[in-house]
Amino acid sequence: MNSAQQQAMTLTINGRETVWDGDPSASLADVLREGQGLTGTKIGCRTGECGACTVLMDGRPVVSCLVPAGSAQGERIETIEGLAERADYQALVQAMLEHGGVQCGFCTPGVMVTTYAWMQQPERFDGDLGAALKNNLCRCTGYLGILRAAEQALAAGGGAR
Amino acid sequence: MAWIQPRSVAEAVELLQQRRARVVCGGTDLFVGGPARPLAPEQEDWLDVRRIPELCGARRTEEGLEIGAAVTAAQLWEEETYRALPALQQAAKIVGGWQIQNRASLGGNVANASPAADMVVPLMAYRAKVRLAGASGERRMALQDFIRGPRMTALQEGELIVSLIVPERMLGTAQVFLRHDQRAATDISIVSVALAAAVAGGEIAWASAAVGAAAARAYTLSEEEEQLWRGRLDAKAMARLGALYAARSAPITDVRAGEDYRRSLVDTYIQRAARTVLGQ
Ligand SMILES: Cc1cc2nc3c(=O)[nH]c(=O)nc-3n(C[C@H](O)[C@H](O)[C@H](O)COP(=O)(O)OP(=O)(O)OC[C@H]3O[C@@H](n4cnc5c(N)ncnc54)[C@H](O)[C@@H]3O)c2cc1C
Ligand code: FES
Ligand code: FES
Repeated sequence: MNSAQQQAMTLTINGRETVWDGDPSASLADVLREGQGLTGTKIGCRTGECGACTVLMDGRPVVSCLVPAGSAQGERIETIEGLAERADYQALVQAMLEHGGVQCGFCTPGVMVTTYAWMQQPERFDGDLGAALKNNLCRCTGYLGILRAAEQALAAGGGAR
Repeated sequence: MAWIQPRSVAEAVELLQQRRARVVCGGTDLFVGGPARPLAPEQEDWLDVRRIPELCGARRTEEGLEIGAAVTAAQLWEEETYRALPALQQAAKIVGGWQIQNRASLGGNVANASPAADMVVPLMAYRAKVRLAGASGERRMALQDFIRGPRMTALQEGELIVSLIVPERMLGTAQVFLRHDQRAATDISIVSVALAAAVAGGEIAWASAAVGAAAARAYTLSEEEEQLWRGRLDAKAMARLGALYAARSAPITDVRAGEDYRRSLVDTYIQRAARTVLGQ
């Protein structure tokens, strides 16, 4: 494999444009973690199943382990670090703490990204966050805390843009 | 290795000629487990079809609904345009989870030609056509002829899928897609069935069904045999249909299910689909 060859790619990550030099078939998850030091994005499986690597691309959750860096050019990428700076995200953080939505925490960044995206349009998946989280595996919480937290954050107006 | 993003079908076809690049769309099949390798050592470039506007939307034509190959599963279940194709929407909504649906394309599902591919099944029931573009121009063929076997298609070197064409008569018919899986999580189909039927007054005028994951590729019956779908379909007629589709299956045994179990599921799901479109 000729992975030694590099390409300069312009990526927009958390509102900032960055030129990244590297293998365009490298996964966005690796570019974020190793290239950009954004280690909030976790890698659990590299097969698209666990959802720990979830980030937003143009507002839609995707598993960044399956997104080649080349494919991410020209899209608005938002990671958990970007969301953490948003005011309308804080209600969800607070609610997760109150309801025990976090235990070991490994799935949490991915769960937060997907949940936040769903909260922008909670009528998606017939209002069922559980269905929206099908691609986020949590081995600890049993999801109940997460669902309750989202409910509370929504009630507090955390979702309306 | 370069990542190339052509902006038109013509440009893509030209680049495929010059650079022998490998076509990629959402990458949810190609990049599982880490960066995929180009097919052959001389294929050093990736040709990303997601920036070709023609591939990213749908349009109504005289023939029916033409759906661009790069349209994602999430677009299919979310957008108004596809309301006339509820079986395809149901299949799109079962592909992986939300994150996969935001990347997985219809064209990729077809080109990948997995026997368990979900979106292929309603397309087969619709008798969809595949529109292809290559160096020698465009051609189209029935999806049934395009998919040859597990991971085998009639796609030629330097060709790409432009769109899938769903015939007019299928739009707005009574439809259903049913899938049997083990975990209902991000799982692979054990058996799936899609059915499109013209129903009026509790009677079927005509219908077309396809079965997935129960043979080397999704299959339908011949149009002659499909005449059996006509009428009110009492229990006996449904049992006959179920048995006929089951007899055509050639399932494998794997960790998910045994051959006999899969075959009997075909029967069960064909009958369940029939009852669903008849509102029973
Ligand atoms: C966790 C997970 C769960 C999944 N669950 C399901 C499921 O439930 N049901 C299901 O059916 N699938 C499932 N898949 C498989 C996959 O998501 C689908 O097959 C998807 O539709 C592939 O589309 P893509 O755009 O990502 O393809 P890519 O990975 O980009 O490409 C796949 C193949 O198609 C070729 N290709 C792509 N576009 C074109 C084109 N326009 N012209 C010619 N060739 C082309 C590529 O060269 C490659 O060979 C799952 C995958 C993952 C990772
Ligand atoms: S690491 Fe990407 S889905 Fe598990
Ligand atoms: S908190 Fe441990 S996996 Fe979810």
